[in-house]
Formats: sequence, C-alpha cells, structure tokens
Amino acid sequence: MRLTLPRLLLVIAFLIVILVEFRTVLGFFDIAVPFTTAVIVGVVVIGALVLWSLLSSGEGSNE
Amino acid sequence: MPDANIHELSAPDHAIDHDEFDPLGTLTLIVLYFLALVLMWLFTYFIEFLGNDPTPLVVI
Amino acid sequence: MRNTFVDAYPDQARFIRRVFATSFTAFAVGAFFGLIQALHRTDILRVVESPTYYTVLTGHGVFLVLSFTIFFLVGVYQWAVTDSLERRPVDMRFTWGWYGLMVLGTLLAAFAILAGFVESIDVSANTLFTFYAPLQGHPIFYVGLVLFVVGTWLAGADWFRSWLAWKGEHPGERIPLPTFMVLTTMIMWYISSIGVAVAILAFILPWSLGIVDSINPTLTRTLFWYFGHPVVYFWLLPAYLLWYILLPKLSGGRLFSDPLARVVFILFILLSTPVGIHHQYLDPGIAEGFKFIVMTNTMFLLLPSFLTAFTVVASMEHGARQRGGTGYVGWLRALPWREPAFTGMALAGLVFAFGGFTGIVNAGMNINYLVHNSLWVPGHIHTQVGTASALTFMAGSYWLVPQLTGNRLVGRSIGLVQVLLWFIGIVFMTNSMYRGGLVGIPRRTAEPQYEGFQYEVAAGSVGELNAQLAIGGILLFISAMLFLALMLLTLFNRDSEPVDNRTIPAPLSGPEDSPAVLDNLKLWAAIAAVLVLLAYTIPLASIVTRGGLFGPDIGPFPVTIEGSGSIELVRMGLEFALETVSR
Repeated sequence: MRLTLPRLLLVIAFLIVILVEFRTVLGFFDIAVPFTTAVIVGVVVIGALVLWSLLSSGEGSNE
Repeated sequence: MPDANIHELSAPDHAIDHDEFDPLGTLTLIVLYFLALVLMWLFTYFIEFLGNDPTPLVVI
Repeated sequence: MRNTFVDAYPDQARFIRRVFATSFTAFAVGAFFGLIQALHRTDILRVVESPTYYTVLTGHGVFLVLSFTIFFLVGVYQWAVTDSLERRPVDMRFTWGWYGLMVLGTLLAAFAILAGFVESIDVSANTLFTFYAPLQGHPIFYVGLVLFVVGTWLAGADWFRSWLAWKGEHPGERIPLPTFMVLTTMIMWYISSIGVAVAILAFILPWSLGIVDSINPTLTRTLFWYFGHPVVYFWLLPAYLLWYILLPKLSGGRLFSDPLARVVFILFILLSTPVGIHHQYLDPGIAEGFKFIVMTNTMFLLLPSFLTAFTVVASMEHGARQRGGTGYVGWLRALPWREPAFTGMALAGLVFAFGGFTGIVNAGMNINYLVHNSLWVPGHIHTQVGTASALTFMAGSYWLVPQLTGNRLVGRSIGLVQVLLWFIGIVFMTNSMYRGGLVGIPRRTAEPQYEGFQYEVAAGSVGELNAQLAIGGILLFISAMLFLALMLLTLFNRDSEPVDNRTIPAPLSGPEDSPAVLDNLKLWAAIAAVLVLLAYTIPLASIVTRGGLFGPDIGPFPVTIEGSGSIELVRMGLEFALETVSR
C-alpha cells in the first residue's frame, strides 16, 4: 500500500468534505451539480484513490 | 506476538529549540486561512446579504 | 517505571473517572435526542408527536451543552489542577460535595425535562435551553439549574483553594499554566454566571412558583445572554486547555509560547461578558447604540481565537519538524495522524476555524439579519460547541481515559474512524444547516414544512438539504456511540498498560518570558468588572425603567400546568430554606 490505512482514511474523509463544500461553492455561482452526479463523482474519485493506494505497491511499507 | 496497538506517542527524531524554530509552515497556513476568510466574507456580504431583495411590502 | 496519572493520584483519578462517566451519560442521552430531531424536522422519520419535539429539543440542549460539556470541564480541570500543582485538593470531601451538588442539580433538571414525555406526571419544562420567558417550565427545572451552577461555583472555589495552598508552599513562583487557565476560566465564569443566577432566583423561579405574577421578558432575556455568551467560552476553554497543553505533546513537540497562552485566557476574562447583547440584535427595547458597542467588543473577541490559531498551529509544526517534517506544507505529513487523540483535536481545530467565520457573520449587526433565528444558527453552534468542544473532548479522552484508568486504549484504529466519522457527519449536517439558514429555513421548529410556499434554494432542493442533514445526524450519532463503546471497553481493559506517561513537555518559551502582571488575577477581574458595568448598566437601567422589574403584566405561556401539588411542595421547601438562611 502506498498510503498507510490511517492516512487513506484521513484522505477519504477530506475528499468527502471537499466534495460537499465544493458543490456548495459551485451552487453559489449558479452551477448546479445534481445530487446523483455528486455521488457518482465521489464514488469514482474515492474508488480511484483506493485502487491507486492498493495496487501501486512500490516497496510495501509495513507501517 | 506483535501488538498492533503498541505505538509511540511522541518520539521526536531530533530536538529543535526555540531559536532554531521558524514557524514558516504556520505562516503559510494562516495566510491561506486569511484568504479563505476574506473570500467567504466578500461572498456572504456582497452576494448573500446585499443580493437579497428588501422584505416585500404586502398590501392586502 | 509506569508513570500515569492514576499511579500518582489514585483517588483523584477515581474522582475524575466518576465525573467523566456522568458527562458521557449525558452525552449518550443528548446524542440520541439529536438523532430524533435530525430525522423529525426533516420529515424522514417522526417517532414522536411534534409537540413532544420541543421536549426532545430541550433535553438535547440541556444535556449536551450544560451536562456533557460542563461535567467534562470539571473533570479536565480537576486533572489539570492536580497534575500541574502536583497536589491534591485541600479537603477531598469538599470536592465530592460540589460534584454531588452538580449531579443533584442535573437530576432535578433532567427529571423536569423528561417528565414532559410522561403525561401522568404533572411536570414539564419544554422551555428549550434558553428558557425565555414567558415560556415557563416547572420550578424543579430552575431549582436544578441553580444547584448545578452553584456546584460549579464551589468547584471553582475548590481550585482556588488548592492554588492558594500551593502558593503558600511555593512563594514567588509563577502559576503553572494549566492552573492559570483553570483560574482565569473560573473568574470569567463567576462574573458571567451571576447573570443567570439573578435571572432565575430573582425573577423566573418566583414567577414559576406563583410568588410574583408577572415578569419582564426583555430583562430576563438580557440577563440570560449576559451569561449566555460567556457560557460558550466555558464550553470552549477546556478545549483550548487541551489544545495548549496536550496537543503539542501529541504532535511530538512543545507548546510554542506560554506567555501567549496566558494573554489569550486573560482576554477571555476581559471580553467574554460585555458582548452578550449581540445575541439580541433583533430584540426591541435595547437601543442600537448599545448593540453597536457590543458588536465592537465582539469583534475584539476574535483576537484571542486568532492568537490561539497561531500558537496551536505553531506548536503542531514544532512537533512535526521534530519528527522530521519539512517544507511549507509538507510538514503536515509528519504529524501523527494515526492517533485518534491527535487527529480528533486537529480536525476539531480546523472545523472551529471555519465555523468561526459563521460567528463573524452572526456578530455583524447588519449581516446578522440575514441569518437571525434561521437554521444557520444551529449550524454555527454545531461546528463550535458541537465539534470544537465535543470532538476535542472525545479526542482528549482517548489520551486522558487511559491515564485515569491505567488501562490501554481499546481500538485505536476504530477511534480514528470515529473522529473521522464525526468530521464528515458535522460537515454534512452543518453545510445543510448553513444553506438552509441562508434561504430562511427556521431553527427550533418541529415541522418547517409549509404549504403554498417554496424556499428558493441556490443549488439543489430542500429535500436534498434535508437528506444531507439527516445523513450527517446519523453519522454523528454512530460516531458518538462508537466513542462511548470504546470508552467502556477501555474502562474494562484491565491487565494492560497505557502506552504513554503523564509528563507534559515544557513550552519553548516558558513563563519566565511572560510579564509578571499577567498573573495578577485581581487586576484582570477588576478590569473585567468595569467593562461589564460599562456595557450593561445603561441598557439594564433602561429596560427596567421602561418595563419595570417585574414587567408589564406578562403571564406565563402554559408550558407547565398550574396549581399542581408538586409546585406547592417546592415552593414550601424554598420558603423554608430562605427563612433558615435569613435567620
């Protein structure tokens, strides 16, 4: 794993928060992102992150 | 058996004393925070607050 | 050799464990009520009748912002005083005494609130946490609140007594920083809680007992907010104490500056109280000029929080650099993010920094009209006391409870999940609350659904805002239950040892660098009293001149049923007690 599990969790938490707030910011500029789109984007981004973290194991850190 | 719950709470690699510590990272974060505050304030004041119409005068 | 707090002070650890248990019990009940509300007002699941919603809401407020936070405060402060003065209280029986009084007060108030669920008991107090007259609760509710507050006063007296005893043994020494924080908080609390004591004892309690017929709502509201703003710092300052004392250690570093920390706490003594009227910008009966003065004071109050942001982040950075962190932002990666105690506090601080912005909006006299009494305000409260304080308390417990029990923390990784869940939950919920507030959705409303009217939501819809609020509330509830489960398991995790000892590293810039005048508590208390007189004398005088001490004939709004036997009983008891005292 490229990220340790605690770090992965932390990054996911931040990503969710950023997605929620970013959607609000876009909303204020009259760019309405539908709820389902936001959910799909979230799932894709987090899924990609998890895959990246699991698959691209350079030197397996045993932290 | 290794106990996964064993961990070091505070294990400094090397001690840094008062004179060699320059909190530049703190400065960076505070500048970013200040920018965020200013942007949020501008938005809340000029768009949300001033952007609202006056309370409608309803005459029945 | 093992050197935890419980090894050094077993009896104190036992006491603080008991106090924390009380605090966490209140937390469990309050969190459950919060879940009911989140689902009720969004019309997702209504398990109670809508009138009962206000009983739930009162319980949620009182149990969380009074019982949970303040019991946790006295626990942490008892720890801080004992650990930093390295001595026990002068008389442990007195310590148990004030704790008993606080518990008794809580039980009485809790009884009055919870009896609202049971029709056969003729008692209720659906007054919400602010108990604005003419909403009237059962006298037991007010008596409970008074006993609780008196308990905290005695707790403060106990800490001052410990300090004076310590001072006798250590003449000429600086007050240790944790004790300094405790004493300054309590000075602020003494100055401010007089307001609520007068409001209840002189006006609301006699009125609820039927001794006087009428009340001046503007007067009792003003007295409430005289206390109601400083009380938020009473919730916040224990979190500050943990940020200043514990967080640097958890980060692997040392506190950046002891003098700055002292200045911050002194600013809170000075500025916490003469600002309460900023909660009443929309109240008629208080002149605009006074509101303006109060707004100015409030903006000055941002200063200690900005100072705190700097000192705490600099201390974290010191820890990160000692752990090998480099770069302008890269040092953040060197912080111990796998520790729930650290991560929880860091996230709480982050949420607090951005929630602070919403406080600036609330405090602006003009822009306040945008959000007044809307859902925005509970949004603000939940980022501040609901996260800055509550999440810090939970994170702090991950370090403190092992110190108090001598047991190793159970489920450190689950603890990390718990604090992250809280972070996500609070962002979901408060984001929805802020947006809902901006479009005018009211707070404190069981059914904010109206026919023939639609909110103009900037992005999305009200249904989506509701879903987001409910998801947030559910995540918060799960997180709270996880926390309580971990605490319970840690309590029973015998035959294990905590990984850390109780030592707190010395600050980079210690007390020797701070001017001695900072420790002159009498001086700061006196200046604070003058500021309070300046801010409040004329507004209070004009409220009384206009409406009279007991008001322009305002009767109670019947939240309680009149003429019940139990009221008579309380009334007789009180009259008897008054006679005994006056003799």
